[in-house]
Amino acid sequence: MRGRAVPIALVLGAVLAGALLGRAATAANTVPAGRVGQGSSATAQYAISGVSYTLDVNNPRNVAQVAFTISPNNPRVIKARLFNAGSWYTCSNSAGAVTCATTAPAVAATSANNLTVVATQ
Amino acid sequence: MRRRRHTQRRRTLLFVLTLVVAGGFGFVTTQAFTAANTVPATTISQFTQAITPAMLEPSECVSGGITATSIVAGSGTLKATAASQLVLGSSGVDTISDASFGLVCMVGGAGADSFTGPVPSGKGDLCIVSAATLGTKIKRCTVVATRP
Repeated sequence: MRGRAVPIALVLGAVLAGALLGRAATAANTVPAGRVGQGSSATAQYAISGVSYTLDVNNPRNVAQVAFTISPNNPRVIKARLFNAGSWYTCSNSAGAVTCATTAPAVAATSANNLTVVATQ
Repeated sequence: MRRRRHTQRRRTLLFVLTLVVAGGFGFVTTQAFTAANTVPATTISQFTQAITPAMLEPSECVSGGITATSIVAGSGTLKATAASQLVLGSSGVDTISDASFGLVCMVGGAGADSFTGPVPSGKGDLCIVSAATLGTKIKRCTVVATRP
């Protein structure tokens, strides 16, 4: 019984050694440097133009919507906010014509001072 | 004696082979697990632009010759504090006025608001009034749109 335990332990040890070797080999896999666009103007991936704002018709001290055109027109997710640290609003995209309702939560026109749009494929 | 030694050697060889196969099995299994970890290609962009009062200005006031440089917003009594200003009311009843500056874009909300431009008239004040606003409540201000 004891005579068999040693070879079995050696086999298990070999499996473990192989697994560790495999892990060490894959641990060396590095992800190449990616690109992310950020700046004070449109970046290379998506260009935004024709930005317009609509005040709330009933309560014009609040901004109801921001709209713009995005190119290429294929982003899957677009979000916008109207001031730094403000709430992010989900936008709808119809062939590059983007509208973002900014009613929930409401944002005051006096607070809206910086538009940030994030788009991803 | 010789046959026994031969058998012993074969067993040892078989055992070593088993160790190699076991090690290889462990290696391949690990590779298979990690091979599934793929990161999909992604495009992400961020766009930032300063929002000026003129960008928030209704198109009727823009085409009427006003380029807003500041905003006053609130409810109740609202008074313009400078020329080329955007004065924004609320959904309630607001009293909006411009004492003397001119080129003020007054935007009322859904309430029955009052609008009063400067004296003398003709200083280019424009008003966006609601349907609930009575004509008698609009003084020295050109109505450029009615909504809601």
